[in-house]
Amino acid sequence: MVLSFVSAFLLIIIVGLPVAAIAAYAVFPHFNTLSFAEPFAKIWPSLNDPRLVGATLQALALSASVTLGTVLLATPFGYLRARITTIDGKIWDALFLIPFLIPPYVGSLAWMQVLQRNGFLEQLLGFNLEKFLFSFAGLTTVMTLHLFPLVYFSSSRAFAMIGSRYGDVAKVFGGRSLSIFARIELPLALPAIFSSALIVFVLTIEEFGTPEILGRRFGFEVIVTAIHDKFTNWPIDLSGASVLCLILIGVAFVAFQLHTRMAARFNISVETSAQPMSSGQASNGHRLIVWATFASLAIVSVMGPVASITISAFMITISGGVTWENMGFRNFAEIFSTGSDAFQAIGTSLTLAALAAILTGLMALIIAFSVVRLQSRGTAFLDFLSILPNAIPGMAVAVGLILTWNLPFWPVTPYNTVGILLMAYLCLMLPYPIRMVTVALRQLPTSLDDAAYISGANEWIVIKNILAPILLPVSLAAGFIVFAVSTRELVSSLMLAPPGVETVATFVFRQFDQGSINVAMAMSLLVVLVSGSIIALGQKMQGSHKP
Amino acid sequence: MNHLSVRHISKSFANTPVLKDVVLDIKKGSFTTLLGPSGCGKTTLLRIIAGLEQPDEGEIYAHDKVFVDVKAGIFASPQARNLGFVFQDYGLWPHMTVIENVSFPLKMAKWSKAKRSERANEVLTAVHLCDQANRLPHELSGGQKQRVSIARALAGKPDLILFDEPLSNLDANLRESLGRDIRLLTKSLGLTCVNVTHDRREAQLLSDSIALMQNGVIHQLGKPEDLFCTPTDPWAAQFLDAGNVLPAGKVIGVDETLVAHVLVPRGAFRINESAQGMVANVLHSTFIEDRYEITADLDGHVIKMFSDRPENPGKDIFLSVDSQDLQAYPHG
Repeated sequence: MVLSFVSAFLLIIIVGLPVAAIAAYAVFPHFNTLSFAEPFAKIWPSLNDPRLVGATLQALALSASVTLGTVLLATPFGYLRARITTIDGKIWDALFLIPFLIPPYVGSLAWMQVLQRNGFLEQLLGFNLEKFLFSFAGLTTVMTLHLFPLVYFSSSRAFAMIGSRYGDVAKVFGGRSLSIFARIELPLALPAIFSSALIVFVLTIEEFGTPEILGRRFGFEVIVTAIHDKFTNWPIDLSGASVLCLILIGVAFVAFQLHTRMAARFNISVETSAQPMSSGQASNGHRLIVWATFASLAIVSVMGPVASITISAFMITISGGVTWENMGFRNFAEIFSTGSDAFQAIGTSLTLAALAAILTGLMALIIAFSVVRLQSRGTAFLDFLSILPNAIPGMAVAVGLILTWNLPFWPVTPYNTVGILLMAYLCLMLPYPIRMVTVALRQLPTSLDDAAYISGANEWIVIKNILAPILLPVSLAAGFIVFAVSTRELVSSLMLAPPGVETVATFVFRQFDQGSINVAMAMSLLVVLVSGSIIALGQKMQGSHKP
Repeated sequence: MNHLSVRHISKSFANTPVLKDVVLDIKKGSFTTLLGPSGCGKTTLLRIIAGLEQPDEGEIYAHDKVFVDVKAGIFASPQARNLGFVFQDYGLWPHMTVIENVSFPLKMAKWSKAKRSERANEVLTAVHLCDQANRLPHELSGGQKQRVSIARALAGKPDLILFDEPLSNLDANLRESLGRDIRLLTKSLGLTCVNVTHDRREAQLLSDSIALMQNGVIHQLGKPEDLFCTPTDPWAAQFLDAGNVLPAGKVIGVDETLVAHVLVPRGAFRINESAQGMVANVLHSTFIEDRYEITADLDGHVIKMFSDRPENPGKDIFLSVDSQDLQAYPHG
């Protein structure tokens, strides 16, 4: 019982309060003075505000087209991946993980360096695609190239599982390739593809950096950038921002729920099979075509941004262009000079990320135990609160925390301290360890707990002496992922960092704003390398963990 | 003298009754098995005795202790009940060595380190595992794991041990030898044991007394031989596989007006040399243990019997029955 209360308390502070504050401000426009006057006075005017409607529709249009783009791009590759040899497949898997390891705002900056006027493309081939980059199509393309790996990985996994279980069966019964694909493999894989596509949708509608960097250039506003405006430009409109946040949470929540249903449906219709997919025996000519197809996608989606970041990071001046004489370590020297803003930003980010990793790990252990093992009355509520952060965009978390901790009645408030940044990271990162620890805990037999209770242990001892040590590898893997994702978190850092405090992400963003693009890219290269290798390590650990 | 008295225990899960007013007395030093098909409530009853589950109604007393008294609001925690529990899937903690697993209950009871190690070695010796003390569970065979689980249950010197299908994860040979060891060990220590299983062989191997359960009630209670020789009704006879349950009219010499069904044990059929008696058509013969089991068709009923020699499929055989071995079930 005590543990359920602890779990509920933690989740309410970290997740419940910010969401409640957003709802309160949306309904009561004078909530900041603790007045309940004029309830609902702002909702209708806000909903009729053409700017809000425009931002919402544009965000939906962008998310829909990015989702469609990733599905159309990634599904054929996922299908091919399931039919090529394991060795070739592993190479492409490793490569296609890279776009996902590049923080989206860094990716946008990288594409700008390539495609804009006098960019790398123009220096190399004599023409630029600036018009395309700063358009709806360009924005969609950049985000699609960043997010397609999600659909690629889940569809290739789905096709592999279906292929080994049902495709072979169909072949035995004499089905032909095309009809097997259309009648058996595709319909069975669709829930898995839709499920990952919905995550793409959520990530797109939450994304701040890319629309801010690219969209602003052609006056394209989405919900998240509109909220940012309402907070940073006079007159500050708290209840308007709250209404936008509610819309954002609502859309993300619905999409996330659909994702969960789809994923469950796929798992029901296709039980996980232990046997590996029978690899295709393609002819050499066939293999060459597949190679060429995969390579061309890799060149665009992986080589493009990676080369751009690397070259920019080593360029001494922008005007110097891409020449050997213009390359050097000056940007890195600037970052690592002790006492510099950059150096402090790295310190702040690393500290916050480490704290977030440790604290979310501990919280996840207690919450997962309460939800999975203690089937007390509030379990459904705890379960809801623990999955809610999946659907709360970083911007909404930031807004919610500001609204909560700005209220006059708190005796102490983390607002305007680094503490509020940590709270934001906890809320945003909590889903990773909760999901991973919950899955692992469900696989542990309850006899482990029961044996301990019979031996005289209480719930704390069961967690401390029995479950925590067994779940340590999973918690560590989750911790690595939290650490890595925290080091690159942009939007909540931008909104919540107290004056004078920079994180790595805000540093990159401000350097870009001030025109020091090369220092920004040097810092980005460090982030990508560090967070990328830690995420990869975390995933490897998760994969190797067998309960 | 009774060790454990289960009084009017009822329990429902999500409005489905799992146990209905169960009454059961367990003698001190006896080995009692709760036997029944899955879903009959046997495991729930065991978990309620252990304190891992709370009943909706009823009381359980052990010696002078009150385990549960729902009306009085008494619910003793598992550790306050001084019992040991052996799990079907062993429930060994994978991150602890054998001796750490066995010592854990003693650590919880705040024994000194020296006494813990002494006692742990004592019980490991009792289950023939003292040379495996520093291994991890995954390095052991299934039988060894279950021995560790038993040692852990014995460590805290409980007077009551609960077993949840202790043998069902093991292969047939191991099952028999470990079953015999469990019986010898618990008898020599004078322990009261309650066991749960759906496997009648396991129940026969271990028990002094068997409580046959069906749909949340105790259907029949008695010594193994009583249960298997005189099942109380056709359902019990069929579940226990005590022999052939046939409509009274199919068996020569049984009065159909008084009796509805007859239990004919496999050993009660005699195959006649002459063409007299009930006619059955042989389906197949199988050599089992030291004799043949003949399966035959008697007027559309598949029957089984023992014989010293095989019979050819398709052949008609003539049967009589030893009427003193029959068990009659009246109408209604």
